[in-house]
Amino acid sequence: MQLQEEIIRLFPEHLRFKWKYAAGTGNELQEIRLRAQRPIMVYLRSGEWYLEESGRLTKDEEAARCLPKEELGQILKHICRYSLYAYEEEMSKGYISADGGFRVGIAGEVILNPDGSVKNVRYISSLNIRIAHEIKGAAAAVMPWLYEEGKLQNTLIISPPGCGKTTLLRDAIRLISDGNELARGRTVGLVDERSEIAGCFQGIPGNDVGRRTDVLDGCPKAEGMMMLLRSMAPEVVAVDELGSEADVHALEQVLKCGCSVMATIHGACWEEACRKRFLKPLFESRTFGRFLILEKRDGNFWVEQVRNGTGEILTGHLPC
Amino acid sequence: MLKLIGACLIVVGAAGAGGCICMERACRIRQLEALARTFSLIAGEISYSRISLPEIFMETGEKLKGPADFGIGPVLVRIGGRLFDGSGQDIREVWQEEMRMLLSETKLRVPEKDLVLSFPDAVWFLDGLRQQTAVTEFARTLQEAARQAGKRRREEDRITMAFCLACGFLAAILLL
Repeated sequence: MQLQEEIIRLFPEHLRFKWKYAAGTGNELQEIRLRAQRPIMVYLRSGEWYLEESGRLTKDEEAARCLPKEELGQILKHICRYSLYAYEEEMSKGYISADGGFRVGIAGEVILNPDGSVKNVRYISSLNIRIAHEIKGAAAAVMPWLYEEGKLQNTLIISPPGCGKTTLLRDAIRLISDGNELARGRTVGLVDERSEIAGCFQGIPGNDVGRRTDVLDGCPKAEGMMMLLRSMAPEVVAVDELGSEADVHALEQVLKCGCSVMATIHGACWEEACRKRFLKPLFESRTFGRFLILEKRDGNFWVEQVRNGTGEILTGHLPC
Repeated sequence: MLKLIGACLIVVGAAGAGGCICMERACRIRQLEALARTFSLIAGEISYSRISLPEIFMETGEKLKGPADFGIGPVLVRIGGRLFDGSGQDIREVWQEEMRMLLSETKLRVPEKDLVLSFPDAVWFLDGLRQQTAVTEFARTLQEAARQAGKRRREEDRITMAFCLACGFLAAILLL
């Protein structure tokens, strides 16, 4: 299915005509920000735009269309397939996984559990639809740097939000799984906690993540890595957005079993990633053999630096 | 002789009409029970699997294809399919369109049909337990209607048969 069609399908039938033009921007489209009673904003590679009443995009704030609260509710219900309860757990983490591998961030009034943890979000007033892009070949330029003497190096992709780390990881997984000119195909175990990488629908990946890839969809990363180890015998384990000590602990277990690891983490630069306390054990033990630092420049995504395990810069300015 | 045969036919016809009314009553109870069972299964799936309603409709529909389910299974599968096909139709629109067709062939009373048609109004809960409770309420209301109808049925059947036979005999006497 084409990206344009997948974007259109995020909206209820009676609202689709308003989104045809924005959806038509396809790969240019990065985010759609919907806020109750506020102008609808659309983020393309070229920058920030507003949606007009006619569905056209404009830079003129005065011409922007404000989103009625009811319409926001209709879009939310449609994305959740009229089953908000089914997204209870995801909502408590601040997002919803929509069809097509899109992630929808939510904001509203938070309901807390007695212990102070987040139970759910009600009176949802903002949605941030992040458009997932499957770009085959996005990782082609970096692949030669991920291998050393034919062996895949444990790799950490460091990137600020919206710079293409999930897109890069997805394509790298595909190339590792299917095999490439540097190595034969290998069995990959993918823990896709937010259904962003594989874009699974009823367990079947919507995106191409390779023919030797087993996907654990919607599973917490730490538990998922252990489950894959126990049952699927992966040669490579891939996870998106490491974020806790539990994730790091599970990653160490994976490494002890002789698997290679492909992971991503939020970070503006190499130095910032080094400062993350929960990652310290991995940096100290030189677990990762490669670090890819991503950046967005002039609307395009770049692998700004490729570093080795000691932090030495091997190359940079690779397109992705 | 002809008058006597005519009178007999009138009495038999009246008894037959009474029997039909009684059978319709029994049919309504069975349909109420089938619908209550359906909502109960949906509530169970919400509680157990926490999957989305279209998926639940399809899975539940596959289980309800017996003769006692008066065709509700295929209707649920159709509703689930239409909500899944990406056409973006609203659940209220799809549910009411499909259910109206099914309910038009049932013996249910208007308030019972309205209750079934109002199901989409009850699917907005953020919490799984509350959503399950809301769906269970549909099952409970329909089950209670079936129970009440079942309790009254014997008495009503007796009255119906007695009334129909009395009318038949009266008409026969008048004929003779």
